[in-house]
Amino acid sequence: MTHTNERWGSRIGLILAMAGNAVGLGNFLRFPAQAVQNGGGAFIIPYLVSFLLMGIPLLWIEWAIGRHGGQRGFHSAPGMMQSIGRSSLWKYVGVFGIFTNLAILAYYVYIESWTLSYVWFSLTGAFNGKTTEQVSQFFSAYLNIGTGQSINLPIKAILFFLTALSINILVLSRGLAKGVEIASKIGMPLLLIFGAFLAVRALTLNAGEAGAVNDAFEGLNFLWQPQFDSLSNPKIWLAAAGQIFFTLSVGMGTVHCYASYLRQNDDIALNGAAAGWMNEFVEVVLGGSLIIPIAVAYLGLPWIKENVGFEMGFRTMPMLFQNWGPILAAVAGIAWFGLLFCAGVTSSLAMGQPVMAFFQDEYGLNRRRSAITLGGILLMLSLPCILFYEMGAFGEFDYWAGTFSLVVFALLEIIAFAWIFGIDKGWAEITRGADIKIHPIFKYVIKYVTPLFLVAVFVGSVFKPDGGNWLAAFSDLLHGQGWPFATDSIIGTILNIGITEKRWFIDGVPTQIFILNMTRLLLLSTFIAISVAVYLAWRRKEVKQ
Amino acid sequence: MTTSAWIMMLTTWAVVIFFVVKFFIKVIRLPLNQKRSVKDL
Repeated sequence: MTHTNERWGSRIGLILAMAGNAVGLGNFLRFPAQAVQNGGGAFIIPYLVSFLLMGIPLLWIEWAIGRHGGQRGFHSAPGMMQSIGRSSLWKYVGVFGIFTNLAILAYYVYIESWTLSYVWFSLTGAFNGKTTEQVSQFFSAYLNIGTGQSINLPIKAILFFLTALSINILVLSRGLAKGVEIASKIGMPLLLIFGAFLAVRALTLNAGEAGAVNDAFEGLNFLWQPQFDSLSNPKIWLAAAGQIFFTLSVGMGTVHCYASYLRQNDDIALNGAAAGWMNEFVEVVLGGSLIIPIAVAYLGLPWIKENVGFEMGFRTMPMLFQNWGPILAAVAGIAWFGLLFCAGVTSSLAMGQPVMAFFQDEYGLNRRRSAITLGGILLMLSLPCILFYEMGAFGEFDYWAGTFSLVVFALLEIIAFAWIFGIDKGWAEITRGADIKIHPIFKYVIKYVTPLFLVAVFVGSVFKPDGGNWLAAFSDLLHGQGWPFATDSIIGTILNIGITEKRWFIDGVPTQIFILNMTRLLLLSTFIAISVAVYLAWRRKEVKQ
Repeated sequence: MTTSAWIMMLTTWAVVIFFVVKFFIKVIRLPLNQKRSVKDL
């Protein structure tokens, strides 16, 4: 193990990097969709409750595990988990903290490259004069989807992907203070400026002006109108807890890694809270004021209800900006996609750092070689996501790395921290050097409430019923009709529910199920390969001693 | 916008902005290495 001398250059740089880790594309594209689909304004109640009882405690736990591990020379999850667990087997739980980052990066950098390319397209006026349909087709053509071919070969998208990947690798190779921290100090303020510009423009849209058919406030009303009856629905609580979980980038090993570069008595209580609340500001205040108000102003409520979702940001927004005239459309396009790029790149850098730290700590690679190795692995892992995007490889990466692994790792780490490391030692770790006083009730929240929240999120993901209707599902079960698993529940995904064609090949051409199974095999192999790398690294250490 | 939507939105924004500002003022006033530099000395 090599003991790195890397440290954060400034406290504000650390907070911006941590907030940048949490602030991602989901803040602008996932949160509004979740709120709209889950009770509008009432969604915010379980959302904030989940933030206080699960989000903030998890952030403090991860900061504490990270700082604790950093003191022992570990900057990635395997060593950190071993240092808080009582068995050396805990280092294999830490494999999740490497695997998740690698697998998410494989498709996340691809999405990041779309935002980069769309900044370019906005700048060059590529969307000028295009209709909604044409802008949507532009996106399909860009990704080479909808052609009827089983392989997508998007040349332009690949070039932009290589550019985005190179930017990430270059910044990471410059190290923490000179690379990640500087990128965050530029990226986060830029993101806020872009977001503020778009929010002001969005909220001043009036019906009849610049082609708008509704006031922007109609969209806000749609988003914030509370439907309090929905609070008794477990689906809403699970959706809110899930959104908090995914927006804070917990359960990934990134927070641990960044916190590991702190000193023994550096504060983590205030830092964790500041980064967490900053993410909430970007998500709730900015994220809620952009896509929905603008889209409702131009396309109306019925259209939004049918089409709200991730791709809307690319398929729809460029066309809507056209209503603002060519110059403002270009500026808005640059601001919107620039904002998404800044959000994306600060997150992807955070995901790259734990993998780099693993190579540096455990295999003695220098920063440059670690960065190049990471780039090479990502290039290989990204190819299935790009080439088999339409066949579902991209979605599989997102599901198993971006959903399943996160929840499993968070659940295991909180068990290790609160129940094996011990809540008394854990609490002392969280509060040591604290610049704010944390109410002692959080000690019990961390020991009992947060794990229960995570169990609920996990069980909810495993058994999610069709349509998210738990009451109807229990009723079906009691009437002997079995449990109606949703297609995106963990069991539903494993069993490939919803996919009717079970053959792997038809006339020699691979089917979707073949691609899905091969993608799962690739992800499993990656997890095993990292476990072997961890095993070998520890064996090397034993031999040296 | 309806009154209940306004109340919901403004209350949430107020809570979020209050905590962001509160914590950021503290972060800016207390540089990370302040306590450390005293101890190091």
